[in-house]
Amino acid sequence: MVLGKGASSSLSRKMVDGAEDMVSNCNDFTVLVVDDDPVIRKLHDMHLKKFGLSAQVVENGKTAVDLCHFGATFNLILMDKEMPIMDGVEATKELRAMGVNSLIVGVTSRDSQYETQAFMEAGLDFCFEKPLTADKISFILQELNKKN
Amino acid sequence: MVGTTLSQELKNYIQSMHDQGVLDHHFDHVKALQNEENPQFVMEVISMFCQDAEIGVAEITRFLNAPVVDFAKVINFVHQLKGSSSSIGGQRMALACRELRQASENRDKERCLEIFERMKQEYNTLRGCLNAISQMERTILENETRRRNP
Repeated sequence: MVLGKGASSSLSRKMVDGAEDMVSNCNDFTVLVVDDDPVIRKLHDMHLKKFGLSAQVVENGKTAVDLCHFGATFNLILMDKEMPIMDGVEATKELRAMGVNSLIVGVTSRDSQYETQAFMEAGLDFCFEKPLTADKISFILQELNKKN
Repeated sequence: MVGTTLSQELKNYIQSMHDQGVLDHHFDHVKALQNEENPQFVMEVISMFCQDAEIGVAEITRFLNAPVVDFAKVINFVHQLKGSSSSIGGQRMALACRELRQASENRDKERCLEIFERMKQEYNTLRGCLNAISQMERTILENETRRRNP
Protein backbone atom coordinates (compact mmCIF):
# COMPACT_ATOMS: atom_id res chain seq x y z
CA MET A 1 0.00 0.00 0.00
CA VAL A 2 1.26 3.46 -0.79
CA LEU A 3 -0.14 6.78 0.26
CA GLY A 4 1.04 9.88 -1.45
CA LYS A 5 0.23 13.47 -2.04
CA GLY A 6 -1.46 13.18 -5.44
CA ALA A 7 0.13 9.79 -6.05
CA SER A 8 0.57 9.46 -9.78
CA SER A 9 -0.29 6.55 -12.00
CA SER A 10 3.42 5.90 -12.41
CA LEU A 11 3.05 2.97 -10.03
CA SER A 12 1.41 0.98 -12.78
CA ARG A 13 4.22 1.68 -15.24
CA LYS A 14 6.83 -1.00 -15.82
CA MET A 15 10.03 -0.05 -14.05
CA VAL A 16 12.38 -1.57 -16.61
CA ASP A 17 11.97 1.14 -19.25
CA GLY A 18 14.18 4.07 -18.51
CA ALA A 19 15.82 2.31 -15.58
CA GLU A 20 19.29 3.11 -16.91
CA ASP A 21 18.42 6.80 -17.19
CA MET A 22 17.05 6.69 -13.69
CA VAL A 23 20.26 5.20 -12.36
CA SER A 24 22.46 7.68 -14.20
CA ASN A 25 20.35 10.55 -12.89
CA CYS A 26 20.43 9.13 -9.38
CA ASN A 27 24.14 9.14 -8.80
CA ASP A 28 24.07 12.71 -7.47
CA PHE A 29 21.15 12.17 -5.12
CA THR A 30 21.86 12.11 -1.41
CA VAL A 31 19.84 9.78 0.75
CA LEU A 32 19.29 9.45 4.48
CA VAL A 33 17.89 6.23 5.95
CA VAL A 34 16.36 6.70 9.40
CA ASP A 35 15.51 3.41 11.12
CA ASP A 36 16.26 1.84 14.48
CA ASP A 37 16.30 -1.70 13.05
CA PRO A 38 19.76 -2.68 11.75
CA VAL A 39 18.28 -5.36 9.47
CA ILE A 40 16.04 -2.79 7.79
CA ARG A 41 18.91 -0.30 7.52
CA LYS A 42 21.05 -2.93 5.82
CA LEU A 43 18.28 -3.96 3.41
CA HIS A 44 17.39 -0.40 2.45
CA ASP A 45 21.04 0.51 2.03
CA MET A 46 21.53 -2.44 -0.30
CA HIS A 47 18.36 -1.65 -2.27
CA LEU A 48 19.61 1.88 -2.81
CA LYS A 49 23.09 0.65 -3.83
CA LYS A 50 21.45 -1.33 -6.62
CA PHE A 51 20.21 1.98 -7.98
CA GLY A 52 23.64 3.52 -7.71
CA LEU A 53 22.90 5.39 -4.50
CA SER A 54 24.78 5.29 -1.26
CA ALA A 55 22.91 6.30 1.85
CA GLN A 56 23.79 7.76 5.18
CA VAL A 57 22.06 5.71 7.88
CA VAL A 58 21.00 6.84 11.34
CA GLU A 59 19.12 5.11 14.14
CA ASN A 60 16.50 7.60 15.22
CA GLY A 61 14.64 10.75 14.35
CA LYS A 62 16.64 13.01 16.62
CA THR A 63 19.91 12.16 14.86
CA ALA A 64 18.25 12.89 11.53
CA VAL A 65 16.98 16.25 12.77
CA ASP A 66 20.39 17.12 14.24
CA LEU A 67 22.12 16.27 10.97
CA CYS A 68 19.86 18.61 9.04
CA HIS A 69 20.06 21.26 11.73
CA PHE A 70 23.84 21.30 11.33
CA GLY A 71 23.62 21.78 7.60
CA ALA A 72 23.40 18.33 6.02
CA THR A 73 21.04 18.20 3.06
CA PHE A 74 19.44 15.19 1.49
CA ASN A 75 17.36 14.76 -1.65
CA LEU A 76 15.59 11.76 -0.11
CA ILE A 77 14.89 10.75 3.48
CA LEU A 78 13.49 7.29 4.23
CA MET A 79 11.86 7.69 7.63
CA ASP A 80 10.77 4.84 9.87
CA LYS A 81 7.75 5.63 12.04
CA GLU A 82 8.47 4.00 15.36
CA MET A 83 11.88 4.73 16.79
CA PRO A 84 13.25 5.46 20.25
CA ILE A 85 14.24 8.96 21.38
CA MET A 86 12.34 10.68 18.54
CA ASP A 87 9.88 8.87 16.31
CA GLY A 88 9.29 9.41 12.62
CA VAL A 89 6.19 11.57 13.06
CA GLU A 90 7.98 14.01 15.35
CA ALA A 91 11.13 14.02 13.26
CA THR A 92 9.17 14.71 10.07
CA LYS A 93 7.31 17.61 11.72
CA GLU A 94 10.57 19.10 12.95
CA LEU A 95 12.29 18.72 9.59
CA ARG A 96 9.42 20.44 7.78
CA ALA A 97 9.32 23.18 10.41
CA MET A 98 13.04 23.72 9.76
CA GLY A 99 12.28 24.21 6.08
CA VAL A 100 13.70 20.88 4.92
CA ASN A 101 12.14 20.22 1.52
CA SER A 102 13.67 16.80 0.86
CA LEU A 103 11.42 14.09 -0.46
CA ILE A 104 10.49 12.39 2.82
CA VAL A 105 9.11 8.88 2.47
CA GLY A 106 7.67 7.19 5.52
CA VAL A 107 8.29 3.49 6.03
CA THR A 108 6.12 1.76 8.56
CA SER A 109 5.19 -1.69 9.73
CA ARG A 110 2.02 -0.44 11.33
CA ASP A 111 -1.22 -1.70 9.78
CA SER A 112 -3.48 1.05 11.06
CA GLN A 113 -4.69 3.38 8.28
CA TYR A 114 -5.37 6.04 10.89
CA GLU A 115 -1.78 6.02 12.12
CA THR A 116 -0.43 6.00 8.57
CA GLN A 117 -2.60 9.03 7.82
CA ALA A 118 -1.24 10.80 10.91
CA PHE A 119 2.29 10.07 9.68
CA MET A 120 1.42 11.52 6.26
CA GLU A 121 0.00 14.63 7.88
CA ALA A 122 3.29 15.21 9.69
CA GLY A 123 4.72 16.16 6.29
CA LEU A 124 5.55 13.03 4.33
CA ASP A 125 5.46 12.93 0.58
CA PHE A 126 4.69 9.21 0.51
CA CYS A 127 4.29 6.36 2.94
CA PHE A 128 5.02 2.69 2.32
CA GLU A 129 4.71 -0.45 4.36
CA LYS A 130 7.94 -2.21 5.23
CA PRO A 131 9.97 -3.57 3.76
CA LEU A 132 10.80 -1.46 0.76
CA THR A 133 11.17 -3.43 -2.44
CA ALA A 134 12.86 -2.64 -5.74
CA ASP A 135 9.50 -1.57 -7.24
CA LYS A 136 8.79 0.85 -4.41
CA ILE A 137 12.27 2.33 -4.63
CA SER A 138 11.89 2.69 -8.41
CA PHE A 139 8.68 4.61 -7.81
CA ILE A 140 10.34 6.82 -5.20
CA LEU A 141 13.26 7.59 -7.50
CA GLN A 142 10.92 8.45 -10.35
CA GLU A 143 9.22 10.95 -8.03
CA LEU A 144 12.64 12.24 -6.98
CA ASN A 145 13.61 12.78 -10.60
CA LYS A 146 10.40 14.73 -11.18
CA LYS A 147 11.03 16.86 -8.10
CA ASN A 148 14.58 17.64 -9.17
CA MET B 1 29.15 -30.05 -10.61
CA VAL B 2 28.76 -30.02 -6.85
CA GLY B 3 28.11 -26.25 -6.79
CA THR B 4 25.24 -26.50 -9.24
CA THR B 5 23.67 -29.35 -7.32
CA LEU B 6 23.93 -27.37 -4.10
CA SER B 7 22.38 -24.33 -5.77
CA GLN B 8 19.46 -26.44 -6.90
CA GLU B 9 19.21 -27.97 -3.45
CA LEU B 10 19.09 -24.47 -1.96
CA LYS B 11 16.36 -23.43 -4.41
CA ASN B 12 14.35 -26.54 -3.56
CA TYR B 13 14.79 -25.91 0.16
CA ILE B 14 13.67 -22.29 -0.11
CA GLN B 15 10.66 -23.41 -2.15
CA SER B 16 9.71 -25.96 0.49
CA MET B 17 9.95 -23.24 3.16
CA HIS B 18 7.62 -21.14 1.01
CA ASP B 19 5.23 -24.08 0.70
CA GLN B 20 5.21 -24.55 4.47
CA GLY B 21 4.60 -20.85 5.04
CA VAL B 22 7.84 -20.36 6.96
CA LEU B 23 9.16 -17.92 4.34
CA ASP B 24 7.33 -15.48 2.09
CA HIS B 25 8.29 -13.43 -0.95
CA HIS B 26 10.23 -10.92 1.15
CA PHE B 27 12.99 -13.50 1.51
CA ASP B 28 13.21 -13.69 -2.28
CA HIS B 29 13.69 -9.90 -2.34
CA VAL B 30 16.55 -10.25 0.13
CA LYS B 31 18.11 -13.01 -1.97
CA ALA B 32 17.73 -10.89 -5.10
CA LEU B 33 19.88 -8.19 -3.50
CA GLN B 34 22.86 -10.56 -3.36
CA ASN B 35 25.29 -10.22 -6.23
CA GLU B 36 28.94 -10.81 -7.13
CA GLU B 37 30.00 -7.66 -5.33
CA ASN B 38 28.18 -8.78 -2.17
CA PRO B 39 28.20 -12.59 -2.31
CA GLN B 40 27.72 -12.90 1.45
CA PHE B 41 24.79 -10.52 1.70
CA VAL B 42 22.19 -13.17 2.54
CA MET B 43 24.45 -14.72 5.19
CA GLU B 44 25.12 -11.29 6.69
CA VAL B 45 21.43 -10.40 6.86
CA ILE B 46 20.57 -13.76 8.41
CA SER B 47 23.35 -13.40 10.98
CA MET B 48 22.22 -9.88 11.84
CA PHE B 49 18.60 -10.92 12.12
CA CYS B 50 19.34 -13.89 14.38
CA GLN B 51 21.64 -11.86 16.61
CA ASP B 52 19.03 -9.15 17.11
CA ALA B 53 16.21 -11.64 17.49
CA GLU B 54 18.05 -13.47 20.29
CA ILE B 55 18.34 -10.20 22.17
CA GLY B 56 14.71 -9.32 21.48
CA VAL B 57 13.42 -12.69 22.68
CA ALA B 58 15.58 -12.51 25.83
CA GLU B 59 14.35 -9.01 26.63
CA ILE B 60 10.69 -9.89 26.06
CA THR B 61 11.15 -12.92 28.33
CA ARG B 62 12.62 -10.69 31.02
CA PHE B 63 9.88 -8.07 30.85
CA LEU B 64 6.98 -10.53 30.62
CA ASN B 65 8.25 -12.48 33.62
CA ALA B 66 8.70 -9.41 35.78
CA PRO B 67 6.29 -9.05 38.74
CA VAL B 68 4.95 -5.88 37.12
CA VAL B 69 5.05 -6.08 33.33
CA ASP B 70 6.36 -3.02 31.51
CA PHE B 71 4.14 -3.44 28.45
CA ALA B 72 5.66 -0.40 26.74
CA LYS B 73 9.05 -2.09 26.74
CA VAL B 74 7.51 -5.37 25.53
CA ILE B 75 5.80 -3.51 22.68
CA ASN B 76 9.07 -1.87 21.73
CA PHE B 77 10.91 -5.17 21.36
CA VAL B 78 7.96 -6.94 19.73
CA HIS B 79 7.73 -4.12 17.21
CA GLN B 80 11.38 -4.56 16.30
CA LEU B 81 11.03 -8.31 15.95
CA LYS B 82 7.95 -7.90 13.80
CA GLY B 83 9.74 -5.49 11.49
CA SER B 84 12.87 -7.52 11.05
CA SER B 85 11.14 -10.91 10.78
CA SER B 86 8.75 -9.49 8.20
CA SER B 87 11.59 -7.97 6.20
CA ILE B 88 13.55 -11.21 6.10
CA GLY B 89 10.44 -13.10 4.98
CA GLY B 90 9.52 -14.84 8.22
CA GLN B 91 5.78 -14.39 7.77
CA ARG B 92 4.60 -16.78 10.49
CA MET B 93 6.89 -15.23 13.06
CA ALA B 94 5.81 -11.74 11.96
CA LEU B 95 2.17 -12.75 12.35
CA ALA B 96 2.82 -14.05 15.87
CA CYS B 97 4.58 -10.78 16.68
CA ARG B 98 1.55 -8.82 15.48
CA GLU B 99 -0.71 -10.82 17.79
CA LEU B 100 1.72 -10.41 20.66
CA ARG B 101 1.76 -6.69 20.12
CA GLN B 102 -2.03 -6.61 20.24
CA ALA B 103 -2.07 -8.56 23.49
CA SER B 104 0.57 -6.20 24.91
CA GLU B 105 -1.48 -3.16 23.96
CA ASN B 106 -4.42 -4.81 25.76
CA ARG B 107 -2.11 -5.32 28.76
CA ASP B 108 -3.19 -8.97 28.90
CA LYS B 109 -0.25 -10.74 30.52
CA GLU B 110 -1.70 -14.23 30.27
CA ARG B 111 -2.47 -13.86 26.59
CA CYS B 112 0.97 -12.33 26.02
CA LEU B 113 2.67 -15.33 27.60
CA GLU B 114 0.57 -17.72 25.53
CA ILE B 115 1.32 -15.96 22.25
CA PHE B 116 4.96 -15.45 23.20
CA GLU B 117 5.40 -19.23 23.44
CA ARG B 118 4.01 -19.58 19.94
CA MET B 119 6.18 -16.73 18.72
CA LYS B 120 9.27 -18.44 20.13
CA GLN B 121 8.33 -21.66 18.34
CA GLU B 122 7.96 -19.77 15.08
CA TYR B 123 11.27 -18.05 15.69
CA ASN B 124 12.99 -21.40 16.34
CA THR B 125 11.54 -22.78 13.11
CA LEU B 126 12.58 -19.67 11.17
CA ARG B 127 16.04 -19.62 12.71
CA GLY B 128 16.57 -23.27 11.78
CA CYS B 129 15.48 -22.57 8.24
CA LEU B 130 17.67 -19.48 7.89
CA ASN B 131 20.68 -21.25 9.39
CA ALA B 132 20.26 -24.07 6.88
CA ILE B 133 20.09 -21.52 4.06
CA SER B 134 23.12 -19.70 5.41
CA GLN B 135 25.11 -22.94 5.57
CA MET B 136 24.22 -23.83 2.00
CA GLU B 137 25.10 -20.32 0.83
CA ARG B 138 28.46 -20.60 2.59
CA THR B 139 29.24 -23.94 1.00
CA ILE B 140 28.25 -22.70 -2.46
CA LEU B 141 30.47 -19.66 -2.02
CA GLU B 142 33.40 -21.78 -0.82
CA ASN B 143 33.01 -24.12 -3.77
CA GLU B 144 32.85 -21.20 -6.16
CA THR B 145 35.98 -19.66 -4.62
CA ARG B 146 37.82 -22.97 -4.92
CA ARG B 147 36.69 -23.32 -8.51
CA ARG B 148 38.04 -19.86 -9.39
CA ASN B 149 41.29 -20.36 -7.46
CA PRO B 150 42.31 -23.96 -8.05
